[in-house]
Formats: sequence, structure tokens, C-alpha cells
Amino acid sequence: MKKENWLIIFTLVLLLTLPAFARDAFQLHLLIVSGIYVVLAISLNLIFLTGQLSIAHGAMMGIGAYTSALMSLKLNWPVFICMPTGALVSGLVGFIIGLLVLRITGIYFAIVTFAFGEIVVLAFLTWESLFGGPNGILNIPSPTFKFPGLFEVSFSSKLAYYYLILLTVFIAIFIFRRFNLSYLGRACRAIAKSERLAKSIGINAMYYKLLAFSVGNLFAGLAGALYAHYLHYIGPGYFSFHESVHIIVAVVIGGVGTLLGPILGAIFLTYLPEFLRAARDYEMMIYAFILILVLKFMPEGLYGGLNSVKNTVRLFFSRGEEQGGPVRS
Amino acid sequence: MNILLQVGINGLTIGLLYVLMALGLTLIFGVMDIINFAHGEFYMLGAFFTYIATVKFQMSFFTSLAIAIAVVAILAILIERIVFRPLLHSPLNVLIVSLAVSIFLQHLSQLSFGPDNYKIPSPALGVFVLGGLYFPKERLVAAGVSILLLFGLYLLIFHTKFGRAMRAVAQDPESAALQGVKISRIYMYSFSIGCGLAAAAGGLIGPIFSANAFMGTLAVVKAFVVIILAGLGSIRGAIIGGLALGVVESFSSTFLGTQYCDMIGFALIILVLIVKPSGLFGTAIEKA
Repeated sequence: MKKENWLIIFTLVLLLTLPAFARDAFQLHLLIVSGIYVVLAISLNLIFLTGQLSIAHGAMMGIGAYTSALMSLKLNWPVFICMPTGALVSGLVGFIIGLLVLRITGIYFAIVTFAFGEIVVLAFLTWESLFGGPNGILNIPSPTFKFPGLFEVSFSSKLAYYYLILLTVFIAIFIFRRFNLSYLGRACRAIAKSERLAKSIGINAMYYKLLAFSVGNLFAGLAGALYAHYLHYIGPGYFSFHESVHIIVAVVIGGVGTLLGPILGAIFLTYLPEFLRAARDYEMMIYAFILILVLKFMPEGLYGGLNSVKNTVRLFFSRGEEQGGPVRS
Repeated sequence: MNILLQVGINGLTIGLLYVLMALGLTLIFGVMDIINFAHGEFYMLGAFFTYIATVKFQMSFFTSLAIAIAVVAILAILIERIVFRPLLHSPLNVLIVSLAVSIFLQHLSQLSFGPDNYKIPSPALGVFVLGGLYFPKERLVAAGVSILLLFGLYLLIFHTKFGRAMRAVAQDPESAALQGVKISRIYMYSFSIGCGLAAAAGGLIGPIFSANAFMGTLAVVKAFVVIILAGLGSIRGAIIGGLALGVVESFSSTFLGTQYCDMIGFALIILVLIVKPSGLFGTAIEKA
């Protein structure tokens, strides 16, 4: 078997047995939150693939979360139907907004999404009868999977929820990988490099941008719904501008456009406050400082940085071989 | 009738401070083609430095304000050189790094000043009454200083060699460079002037409202609303837009709720960027 396959199997086994290593409920909680952020970072990265920076990802996550929570509470629908519906609503909103604003590019697109995100959060805040205003929504139920007459699985425990999140992460990775490696991904990267050139060789830029934006927002909505039914509580503050920035930071620190980068970035950012516990007051400053350092010295992110270290090491050893060192077979 | 006039005048005085904020932001965008999300933090620093100079060092308000503007302008030069300049080739990376600078400065000042509100001692107490209308003197001072600064900026941009170089870089950096304009220096000074204007707005608003570590967030959002509606990079637009926003806000907070007003502002941003991306006063340059 190839080396890569062994690595994948090892990672899979590690991920499946990871809860056994968690010493307490809080560590399991961190694993679950990392998983949710991994999904968010991957989905934002998908939008970023076309060169468009969305500052509405937190708001899109909020749309999914609120839709799913409200449907399960007010309509009493089973959570396993509410969550995909929440995701679909986010995707649909993304599609409609994308249809309107995706022809705007660069900084202007970033500002439009920023304005849209603010509107969504203001709506959560002001429409109290529906969204609960600043108090948010309480007592959101846990998902239970019922198969009539046969069995019933409840996801109220953290352990069960971990596997649910893991499944979602796998789906997100699978879709991103298929998207990225196929014609779709190449078209998106061409659009990001130069939209005019891409159009001139017959790439329908609007189509690919819209596809990436809708699918990305769909997963943001799914992550939001998973978040809502995990915490049992949501409020407008969870989906603010700062949330959107946090997801952008995860993608940028990890490495824009790569598969592993955003995953690394999301996990890194979730565990960062734990490492900085001694310096809690300085946490946000260190966070900002790391972002500045990464942008300045590692423009390809942690993943790119690790890769270049690996290449340097490899180069170092291969030079040794050329000078008559031991030859590997 | 009198109340309408009074509300309008209150709006105009606050509007002048929005103009200072928005002009700084639009100047930086026009010349450097970047969006500076940290602009509100320079405004906040302006307020805090004015506070320190007046309260801790017992200086007069106007000296403190001048010192605050100078300190922020120097700080801006350092930040531009160290943080922004290496990334200038990619506007999106600059946007992200400006978010980082914003978070950094916000929490730095929260750490040093705590979450409390600080009121800068008023430069002039009392109310000036004219024809049944009330003009609080501190607001008159703020309006007067803003108008002076705006006039100075006008002279600088339109009647000096440096201003001409700035306009040239804004129009076409490469041609400007061919004419012997040192672009990096123009960038540096534009950034510094823009941030200095924000600091002035902060120092002037301190006695009217108060200063706290997170005052920049809302201010930068308002400045964004102004410059996008008016047209990114348009100086005339920023002035009219800032005054208009002040008046509209003053009326809506008197007669309606403020939250709906904010929502309308953001909806207008989206609408304007879809229909006329160059803004209401912008020149029609399509930027990729």
C-alpha cells in the first residue's frame, strides 16, 4: 500500500479513537468546537478559491443556526430534518445574494458582504418576536435519530455529538477535495487569478462564483445548525462581524486555497486560548499579533510554512546524497 | 419649526466629525487603494491621547489635541511602514491585516484603560443662544476646529505641490512615478494624514460624548457608510455624505429608533454598490 494511504488510515483511526484520550468533558467540548470551525473554515476557503473574500460567513452561519433552531422549537420538526433545512436556507440566501452582488469583485465585494452580515445581525437583534432579540433563543433540543419501530439514537451526549461532527467534517473535506481537484476548482482558481482572462477562454465566471458561494454558505449554515443544537442556546453575538473575522483568520493563518491549511488554522485557533490561559488578558493581542506575523512572514499560512520547512529538510538531505552520502534504495 | 432647526444643527455638528473620519478613510483609499478597518482605532487613540494630555499633564485642550494628532500621525507612519507596506500588492491581505491591527490596538487600550468611559474636560462650557436656538459651546469648538482642518486639507490637496503629487498617485501610480513622484513617500504621508484626521475627530468627540476602548468600531462603520454611499475616494462626496449622515441620524434618533437607521444605512450600501458601484459622487472608474 502507498505511504499516503497508510497516513490516511492512521489519521482516521486516530480521529475515531480521539475521544478516548479526552480526559474530561471540556476536552471533548474543544474537539467538537474545533470540528465545527473546521467545517466553517473549509467552506469559507471554498468561496475564497474564486478570489472573493466574504465577511458574511458568521451571519450565514447564523442564518442556518436560527432557521434550524426555530423550526425545531416552533414547528416541532425532528432536528435531523431541521439541520439540513437550515443549511439549505443559508445556501439559498447565499445564492440570491450572490446573484445580486457576485459581479462586484475585490474590496467592494468584501464591503458588500460586510454590510449584509451587519444587516442580518441587526435583524436578529431587532426582530424580537421571532428571533428573541438580544436574549437569543434558549432550550434548543438535541438531535435524536429515530428509525420508526427499530431503534433510536440520541445525540444529547458529547461523545455522540463528536461523531456527528466528525461525519460532517468528512463530508465537507470530501466535497472540497472533489471540488478543488476537478475542473470546477481549476476554473475557480483561474477566475481568482484573472477574471477577464478566464472569461476570454470561455469560463462562465458568474456560474462558478455562484456555485462556490452557494455551496460555501450551505456548509456555513450546516455548521451553524450543528452549533445551535450542540450549545442549546444561540444569540446574535455568536454570529457577529467578529465571528466572520475569526473564520477568515482561521483560513488565512492555515493557508488560503489548500485543503489542510484551513483545517490546521481552525484547530489552532480553537486551542490557542487554552495555551494562552496564563496570559488571558493578552489573548486577543497575541491572536492579532500572530495574524500579522503570519501575513508578513508566511503568506502561505501554517500549511505552506510547514511544507517549505519539509522541502528545506529534504533539500538538505538530498544535497548530502549528491556529495556521496549513503544512497537510499 | 424651532425643534426641527435645532435637531438639524445638532446633526450638522456631529456630521462635521463624521466628515473628518470619512475623509481620512477615503483619502487612504483614494491614494493607496486599500481599505483600512483599523481607522476607528486611530480615532479612539486620538481621544485617549487627548484625554491623557489634558488630565494627566494638565495641558490646555487645544495643545492636547495637537499633540494627540501628531502622536497618532507618527504611529500611523510606523504601522504603515512595518505592517501595511509589505502587503500593499494584495488589497485583500491589507484588509485582513488591518483587521488584525484593529483587534490589537483595541485590546491594547482596553488593557491600559479598562472598559470604562473617560470624559475629556470640556474646552468651553456653557451654551450660546441665538434666535431661540441653543449652541452648546463645546460643539461649536468641535465644529470650528473641524472646519479649520477641512480648509487646511483642501489647501494641502489642491494648492500645494505635494497635494498635486497625491492626486497624481491617486489617478495613476505608474504615470506619477514616471514623473518623478516617490510613491512610497506619498503613501506614507497620505496614510499618516488620514489617521491624523481620525485622531482629530476622536479628540473632538471626547468632550461631547466620552472615550472608551471600543468607540472605534461604531465610528469606522459610520465612516464606511458615508464613503461608500458617497463614492470611494471622492472628497466632495465624503463631505456631503458625512454632513447628511449626521443630520439623518439626528432626526431619526429623535423621531425613530436608531437600530432601523443603521439597517437602512447598510441596505443603502448594498444597493449603491449593486446599482452604481462608484457611489453617488464617485467618478466612474471600474476597478478590478
